[in-house]
Amino acid sequence: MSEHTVFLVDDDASIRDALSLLISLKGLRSSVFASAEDFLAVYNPSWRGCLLTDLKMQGMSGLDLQEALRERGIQLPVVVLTAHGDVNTTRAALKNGAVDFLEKPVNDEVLVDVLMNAIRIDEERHRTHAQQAQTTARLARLTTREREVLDALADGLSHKEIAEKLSISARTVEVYKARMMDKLQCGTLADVVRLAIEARAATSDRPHTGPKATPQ
Amino acid sequence: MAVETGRRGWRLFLPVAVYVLLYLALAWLSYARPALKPEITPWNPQTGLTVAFLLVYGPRLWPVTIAALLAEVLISSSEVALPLSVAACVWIGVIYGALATVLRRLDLAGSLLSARAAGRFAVATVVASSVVATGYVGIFVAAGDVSTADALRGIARYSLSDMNGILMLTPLLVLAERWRESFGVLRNRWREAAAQGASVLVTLIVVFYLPAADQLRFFYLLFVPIIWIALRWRINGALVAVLTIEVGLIIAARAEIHTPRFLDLQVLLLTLSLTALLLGAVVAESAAILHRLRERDAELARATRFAVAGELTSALAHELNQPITALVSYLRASDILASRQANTDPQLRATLQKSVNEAMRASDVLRKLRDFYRGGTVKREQVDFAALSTRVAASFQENLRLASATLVSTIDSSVPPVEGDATQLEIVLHNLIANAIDAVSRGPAAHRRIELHATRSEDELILSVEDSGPGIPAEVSREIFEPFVTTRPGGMGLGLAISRTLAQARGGDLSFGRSSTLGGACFKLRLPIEAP
Repeated sequence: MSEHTVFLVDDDASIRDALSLLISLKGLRSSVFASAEDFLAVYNPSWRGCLLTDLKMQGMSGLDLQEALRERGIQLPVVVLTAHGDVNTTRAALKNGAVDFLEKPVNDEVLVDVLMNAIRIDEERHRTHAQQAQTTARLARLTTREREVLDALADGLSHKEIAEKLSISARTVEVYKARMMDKLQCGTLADVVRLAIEARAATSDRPHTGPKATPQ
Repeated sequence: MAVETGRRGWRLFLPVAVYVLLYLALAWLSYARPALKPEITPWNPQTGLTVAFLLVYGPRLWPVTIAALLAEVLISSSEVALPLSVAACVWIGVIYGALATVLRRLDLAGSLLSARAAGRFAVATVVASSVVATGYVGIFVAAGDVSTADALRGIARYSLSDMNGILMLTPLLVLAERWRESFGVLRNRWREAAAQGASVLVTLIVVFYLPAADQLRFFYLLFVPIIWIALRWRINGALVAVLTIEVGLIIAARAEIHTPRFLDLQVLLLTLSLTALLLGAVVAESAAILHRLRERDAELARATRFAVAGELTSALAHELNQPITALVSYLRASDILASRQANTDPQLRATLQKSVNEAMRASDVLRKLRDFYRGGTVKREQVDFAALSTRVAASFQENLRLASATLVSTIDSSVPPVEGDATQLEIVLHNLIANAIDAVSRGPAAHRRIELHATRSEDELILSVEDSGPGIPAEVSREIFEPFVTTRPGGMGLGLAISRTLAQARGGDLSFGRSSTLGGACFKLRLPIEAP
């Protein structure tokens, strides 16, 4: 967990100081920014954790910041700090993809829950990305024929049907399948099919997510 | 059906009986100085009763009035042949039935509260009583009871007495519901009423009893109390005063006081009645308009106060909630730090928790205050923008003149009525135009121009207010809608903040830019139009 940081953006110095102190006492690392512009200026894609931002700020607002994050393909989960009753702004922030919101003044137990949850979301997102990258890397090692056999298996075709479709003998299909399973490091057919489906999902999902997207 | 008619008949029995009795009593009381052979008395208050009766209970009761007229003829030992009297009575009943129908159609029965209505009422009365008098005298001329030489005098005398009766008594009786109200006011203003009554009495004495007042030379003095009373008490009071004067005249006539020709008196009395009626109506009308305007102003002022308080509270709540948030966080941090110490006083942590609770309570108070103003009643009504902008523009006439600025509004015919709170939308429009006037006043006097434009764009109503002023300075343009931001030396900086809050509460928005045609600022109010 230590590699995760709460990035706190608020234009009120006292709030920055108090919340970062509280967050650190709760065992989380925090990093503070006086404005959305400051955060964007120094952002590094390797940052993990979550972003905790005020909505109403001088200069760029919290909503503006969300917009900028989306434009740059930054996927850091966002938690917004709202004043009580800012229903419209809060709704807009959630629509923009904020994972949660916290009302000021913040209850520290709720604060920790919400931040931990946001960090978990970031971790999961990351793990998925890593897996997808791995899958993609393995799939890239397959030859065209092996890939065709994999796709046909994922579609639920039998060996005989694959042989007919690819105009090769059933024995050759067996050979390709064995080689492909070896390359993908899969023990069972079920694993292979799952991998194939994951690969398809990875290529159709999030076409604009930056470095993780894999052009086929 | 028969039962229903029967019941209705019973319900009408009492009013009919009261009417006939009152009619005969009035006829007997006002009986004075008959002229000609079919007796024509100078005062016919009973005719006023008849028209009021037909107005209140329906013109279809005209046969009842014929019966009352016949009863009067039978009681007075008339020398006229019965068939002639019957014909005359039927004629009178029919014409006044027709008058009542016309007055009801014109909706003048219950509301003589505008000069227009009072004027129409007077004209209809003059026409009807002239027709009645002509027919009545005509019948007797045809029968040879009245000579053609006397006919014109008879017609004048008869029609004037009926006119007087109707103009004086009918409005009083028809407006009878308002009497209770008037009596209530009378209790509070009895000194004034007494002074006015005394002035009528003194004037009557001066006019009729003073030896120097020979030949009613001072009759015109009577206008003074009548005008005074009409201005203070409107129609009812004025007519009561005229009635008092008429009663005085009847007494004078019975007492055989030396008076000039009665025709002169009748004309003078008619003038008094008309003055009372029209002046009373004008006063009532202007009072009603003033009342409506005051109410509208009061409502606008109330809504504005509420909006200002709301905006102030909202800004205050935000500004105070920031330090409270920091305070709560520091206190919680202190608690965590205290919990880590080995030998902390147990009271310390309890005290810290209490401090947190108090800070939270302060925040709650702000929240409730803010909710109170935010949750203010928002009415949902159909708002006609053309009418609204005309009204707002009208309220700025004086300011525009002082600033020598012109306001041009163009409302597209495609602009539909929108649903919303008219008062709140008026506040928005009011603020925008007030700002525009202020902005153009800072520019050269030659072309101070403001344009108001309302148009429809698909499912939105767009209202823009553009001005030829200097525009919004760049340094405040980012926060122009924030509270306490103003370019005016004496401004509070709440107008635009309130306007945007109100627009957003209605599901719309308020934005600004530069006017392409006038060069100054251009504020755009967008409001969604609900599908019908």
